Amino acid sequence: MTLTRRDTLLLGACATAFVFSGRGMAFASAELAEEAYLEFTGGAEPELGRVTLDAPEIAENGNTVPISVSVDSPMTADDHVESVLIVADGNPNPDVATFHFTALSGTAAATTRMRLAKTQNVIAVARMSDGSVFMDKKEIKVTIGGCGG
Amino acid sequence: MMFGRMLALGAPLAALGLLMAPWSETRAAPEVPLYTEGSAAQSPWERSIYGARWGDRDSSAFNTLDNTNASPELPPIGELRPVPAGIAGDPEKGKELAANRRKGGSCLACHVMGPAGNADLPGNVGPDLSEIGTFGHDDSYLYNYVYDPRVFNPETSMPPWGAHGILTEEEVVHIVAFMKTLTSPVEFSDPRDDPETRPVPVEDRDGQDPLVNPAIWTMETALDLYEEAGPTGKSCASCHSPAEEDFSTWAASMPVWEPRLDKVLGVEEFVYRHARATTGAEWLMQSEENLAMAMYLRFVANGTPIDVDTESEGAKAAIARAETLYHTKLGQLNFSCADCHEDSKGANKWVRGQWLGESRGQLPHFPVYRTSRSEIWDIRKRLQWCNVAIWADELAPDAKVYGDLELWLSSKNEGLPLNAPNIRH
Repeated sequence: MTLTRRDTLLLGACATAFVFSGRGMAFASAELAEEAYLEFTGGAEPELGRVTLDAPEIAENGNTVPISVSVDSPMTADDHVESVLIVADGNPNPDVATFHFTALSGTAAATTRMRLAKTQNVIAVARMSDGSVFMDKKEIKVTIGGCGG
Repeated sequence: MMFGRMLALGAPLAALGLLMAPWSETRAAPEVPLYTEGSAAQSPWERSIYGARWGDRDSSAFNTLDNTNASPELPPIGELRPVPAGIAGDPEKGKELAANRRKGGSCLACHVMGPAGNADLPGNVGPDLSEIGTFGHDDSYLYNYVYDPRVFNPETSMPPWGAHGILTEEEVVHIVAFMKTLTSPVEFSDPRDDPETRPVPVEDRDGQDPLVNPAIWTMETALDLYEEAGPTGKSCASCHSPAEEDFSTWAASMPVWEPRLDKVLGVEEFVYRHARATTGAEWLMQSEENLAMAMYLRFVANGTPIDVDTESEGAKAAIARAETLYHTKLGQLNFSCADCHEDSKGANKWVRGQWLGESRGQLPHFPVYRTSRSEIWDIRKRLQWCNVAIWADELAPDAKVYGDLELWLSSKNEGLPLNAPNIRH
């Protein structure tokens, strides 16, 4: 099954709703984010590489930060990306979204918009069909507006 | 989705168009029907649309676009106020005030203030004050510079914090105490924190992709409205061919001086007044219908270089008025348009983490979807919001001065292709 862009947007919306439900909790930490992705990888420490997280260096509005993720993979029955997890280590809850792929997806790429409470790291982790795991990490600056209230 | 519908709608309308005189011919007629009475917007205008946080502020004692003589008078140059006696300056309190965004956006909006000032995304409209404490300025100089810098420089962009009642005398004393502690430059660990090296934002999203820009969906409404009969039984389609044909360049020629109303009409006001006079529909400015139709009429003209009339007597006079207003200080924060948007002043600099654009290059992408508000803004709302942000009372969107400013802006954006609707933060 292929995730269309529309599905991706829906997923993004759900992820945002999920983050909202965590309001009032303490902000996530690097540890919580790491916990989240280690659960996803089954405890394996992902290697940097193969995953490309495309995100703005500076987000002018933390409410809707556009991000894209793609994974370098032949996407064959024997060798493809199974899932990609996105976590953010400064939101009330680190979980953002999980995208699932099969060999029939053709490419392992997804775009969504996410909410960032403050300047923080966004981490994308890909789990391959052979169980190997890869990641990319970007710090996104969430700006403070100039014209105060 | 909508493009399929556009085609489906376009075919019968195109057939209809063949039977009728094209609109471009009727356009040459001297008088386009316009409803010339009353306001084209909500009347009386209520600021409540912006919410209590903005609407509750009383800015009536300061200049607005329609009353540029309301603010207290300029102080004479060199007439320094005595530093109030008996108040001990507290650098800690001053540090908090300097970062307090409720106090006019904070000192950090425009100044780097050393490591103590907080190195997180300060602005650079004003000079770096990281070592102001070593410059040997006395208390009187610093106090007066914050209280009302116009006693030193009447042209300054800096607000008269004390004279305009944003900071109290005591608060200014605390800020002076804080400034005297600033003696070392900040070392930015990340080039994005330093306003001199922070990358300039690049907007490369495809604003006309409906999956990127929710404003595109609103044009479905415009397609329905185009063929929906108003109270007179007529619709837009009763007289006009499909908009893609009749209006393929029109929006780029707007706004236009309209002698019957003695003001400049933009697409939005024109849509209200023309529809009211023909189909009877009442699409008030900034209503959902008006925004949808105005956006659609620009969308079908996308790519057309802006080319407005600046030569008629009315247009010339409007542009001259706008030119004066552009340099007029407004609101409690006492900013002119030029203070923030002229290259020699605030433009192409950072006000905290936000980049200040120039007056050329913004207009062609309006109306925009604003992600921070989840709203579609036409250019008039953008201008209104500028007033709100500088703590001045905005006017109704159909105010004559906004027409003047829109025409002047269009002349500044001459030749740039329309690219609407777009998306911004």
